[in-house]
Amino acid sequence: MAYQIARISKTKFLLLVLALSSLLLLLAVVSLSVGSSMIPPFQALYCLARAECSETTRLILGLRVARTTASILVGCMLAVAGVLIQGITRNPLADPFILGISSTALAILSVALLVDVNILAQRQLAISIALGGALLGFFMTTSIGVLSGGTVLSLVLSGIAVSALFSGVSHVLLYMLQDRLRHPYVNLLMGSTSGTLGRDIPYLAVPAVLSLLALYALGIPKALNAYLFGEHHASQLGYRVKLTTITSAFIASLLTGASVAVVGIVGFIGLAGPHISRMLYGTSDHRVTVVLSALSGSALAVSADIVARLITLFSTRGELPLGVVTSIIGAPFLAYLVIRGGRS
Amino acid sequence: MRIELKNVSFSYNSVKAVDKVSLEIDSGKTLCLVGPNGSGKTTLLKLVASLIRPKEGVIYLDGKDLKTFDINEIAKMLSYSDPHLPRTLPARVIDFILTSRYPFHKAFQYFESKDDLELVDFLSRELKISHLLDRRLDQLSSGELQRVVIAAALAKKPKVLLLDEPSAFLDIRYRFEVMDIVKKYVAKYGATSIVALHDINIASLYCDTVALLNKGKIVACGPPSDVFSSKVVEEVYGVKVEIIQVGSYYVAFPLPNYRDRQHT
Repeated sequence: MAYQIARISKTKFLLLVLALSSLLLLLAVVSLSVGSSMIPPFQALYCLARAECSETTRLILGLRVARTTASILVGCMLAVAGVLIQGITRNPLADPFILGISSTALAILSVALLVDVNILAQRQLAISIALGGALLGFFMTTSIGVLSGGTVLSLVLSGIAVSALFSGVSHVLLYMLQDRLRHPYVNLLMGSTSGTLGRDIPYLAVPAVLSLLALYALGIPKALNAYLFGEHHASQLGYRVKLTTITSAFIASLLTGASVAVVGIVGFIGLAGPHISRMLYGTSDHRVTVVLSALSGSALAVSADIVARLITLFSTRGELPLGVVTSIIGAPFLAYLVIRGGRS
Repeated sequence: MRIELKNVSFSYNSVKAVDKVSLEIDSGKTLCLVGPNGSGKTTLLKLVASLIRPKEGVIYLDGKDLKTFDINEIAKMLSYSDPHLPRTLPARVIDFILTSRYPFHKAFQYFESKDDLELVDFLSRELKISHLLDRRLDQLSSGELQRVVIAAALAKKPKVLLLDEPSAFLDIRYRFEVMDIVKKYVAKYGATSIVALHDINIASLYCDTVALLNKGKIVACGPPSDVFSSKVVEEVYGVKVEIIQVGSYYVAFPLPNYRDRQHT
């Protein structure tokens, strides 16, 4: 019985990875061809394979490859941050955006920009500052959450308070700075990959890869599995509970901070990614859900980016931020989860 | 494994929860902790499980101070079942039981071995939960969950088995079955178990030794028939306890006080 269940789960996992990767690949190709100048998918692929194509097409494709890669990475990072945060708070409604971690990261970054606006171009520094902000947000929300009773909803409510405060602060600061910023400041508040260039990619890719490697090398997925059944259960299995939660919180903050520093605040992917992965797989085994969430988060972000570009086709006034699309889809999803008591 | 407690004390912010407790339990034996709510049963279990450290006194396992054991050694040796299982994130029964095998995995082993799965199969047959393995924990009845918790505790093949209220929420048949399994396990593997119980009826039937706790202190300790026939039990609980011989068993029955008044 146990053997069969384990085998079915393993097959299910492999099939889901295959299905989600194919979906992601398909979306990536669509993402390359959609935009103000449409390039048929096959032409886009031929062009990328160094076959004949015009210089303009090549230029446009170069930009689209960059933003598509950025969307994939940001989606993956936020979803993994979401799994980690949900794991250590044991709260199915937690997500870097809902808990105000993204807003705090941006607010602290904005304070730094007020001192020197060039910091945004120095990616390493910007990411470190955003990481500091994310950690601060994490600490504040969880402290208020614990003080207000430590229930699933009290954490979400304290997240709303922290998030409202710091997105307000960011808004004011970025408003004051807007003349000196290269891109519209809304892009940072609502997250956008429209300005992402090829040289920005490493600043997303390196934190993403490092975090995933660290996560598996430190055995955090298994530690989180044990922690799922209570602090005592985890510590009687030999896990150092404090160490696990602090490391996971740090990794989640790094992932959130890096994505905020490069593309701005994109909400709800950290909530939806883990839920989709649990719905597909049926349980919260973190060894599996981290991978599945990363893939579904990427797929979500790329889809949202495609939708944002499609909406832009009907306007002449610049691009719609990606975060707007994820909020419109994500908020009803949150409402649905609240009604169902947070279970997926 | 022989467990020995010497003058063990613990307090939560100056409130004494366990007060100078000394106990000895031999290999293959079951000790039951009984006592009113808040008498320190759970705290005592957590102390032996090394989840909390005693403020005073020493706990010995086979003569060796518990403090000197490595965290991974303890993880393999001791099982403590926490009756309050968080169930906010969905997880299946099999996932929960398999976490108990984590301490036995090699470094960088990510998935369960065949032996792990066979052990789960064996235990789930014993505890009659085979049909529940792929169900989610939040879909179980409290009686089913209780048996799953015990399966998870046994999945470590522990030398020391610490159970907190294993018979709560179970119906009469499973109360006996679960205690039978625990007793059989303890005898077969030379393990030692400490069980916190509310049900003095079950305690009188299954325990080798009963320790009666009141306000963190042991007020009576010995074979069930001795402890339950003493006046101390009646004083601690504030109810009458009768020992009745049924066949070869001596069973303790709590009786409400008002009956007494009716008779007189």
